[in-house]
Amino acid sequence: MTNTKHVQVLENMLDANDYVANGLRAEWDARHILAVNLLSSPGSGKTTLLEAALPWLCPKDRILVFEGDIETERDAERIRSQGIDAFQITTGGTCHLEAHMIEQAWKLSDRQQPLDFIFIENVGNLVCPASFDLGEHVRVVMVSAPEGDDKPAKYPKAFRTADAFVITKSDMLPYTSFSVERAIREAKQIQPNLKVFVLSAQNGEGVQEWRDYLLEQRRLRFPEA
Amino acid sequence: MHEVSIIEDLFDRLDDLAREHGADRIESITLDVGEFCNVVPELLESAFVACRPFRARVTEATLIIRPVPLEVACDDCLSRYRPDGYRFTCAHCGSPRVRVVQGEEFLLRDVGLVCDMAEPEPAIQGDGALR
Repeated sequence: MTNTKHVQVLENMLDANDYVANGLRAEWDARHILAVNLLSSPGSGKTTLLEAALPWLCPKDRILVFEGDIETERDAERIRSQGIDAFQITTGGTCHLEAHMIEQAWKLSDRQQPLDFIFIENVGNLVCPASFDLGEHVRVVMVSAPEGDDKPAKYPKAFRTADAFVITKSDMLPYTSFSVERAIREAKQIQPNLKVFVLSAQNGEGVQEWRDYLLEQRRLRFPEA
Repeated sequence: MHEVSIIEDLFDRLDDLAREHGADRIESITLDVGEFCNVVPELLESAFVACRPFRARVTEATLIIRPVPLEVACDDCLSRYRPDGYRFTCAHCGSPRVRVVQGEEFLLRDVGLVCDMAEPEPAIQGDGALR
């Protein structure tokens, strides 16, 4: 004999991730740490941009970087060679970072150190990372000139969930068919509130504007800091 | 997006729910899958069928997927519509003040739980004697 009953659950299937992400964000809010999540395809220049931008953003000991990759510590080593603390998260196969990974890494770091910024360089992928809140305050999506200007249309969720859109490797624009106008137009059709930056970590063009944006975001979020 | 790991997480949650409600097994699971949530319903179904035999409580369960189409609303002209593609500037007035009303969700809506109850003992034994 059986007894069947229907239970209405109405739970977000990603609740577990969001719960952890919200906890991280609350802790970082209390400490006035602005957390930035960088999303892009592999090779767009996430690490290179951090190498170019971070040393002049604020005192180096007030920055912590979480690097996400399937394998190797190479990106964390690059950041550390700039004198900035970096923690490598190797996923071993998962193509995106999730909040519990950041939480684990955060717990292993020196959490008492005073920080102004945490940067999370996500695994190179414009698909899955878009669905996972990592506790960040600012989400940056990046596309490099050689990749083509159709990326916003092809990866709408990454652009819909972003706050800023950075077009990297602007020094290569003369050698590619990338239309900055088209990329921005299509990106803004998906997320009208995107703040757009066109820059080159190689020659420095536009990098100061991006630093200024990050400093402004921190000021806006933590006016008392 | 990782439909197999999503199904495994779902099975863990169903185990919790079954324990909470004293149920032995799952009869049905209803999921709302939004058009813009990056989960592919067909792959979710395939993953469910592939993983179902390996979890005792769900071997006979049915997965019901309710696709939720993307719908947006404009805060300026108040129109509500299904956008053509993933465009979030208003198709009617061009305003950027468009918000998603539905279509981003990925929700465990409800679960059908089954308790297998023991058959009650008969009041009268086979020899006709009352106990």
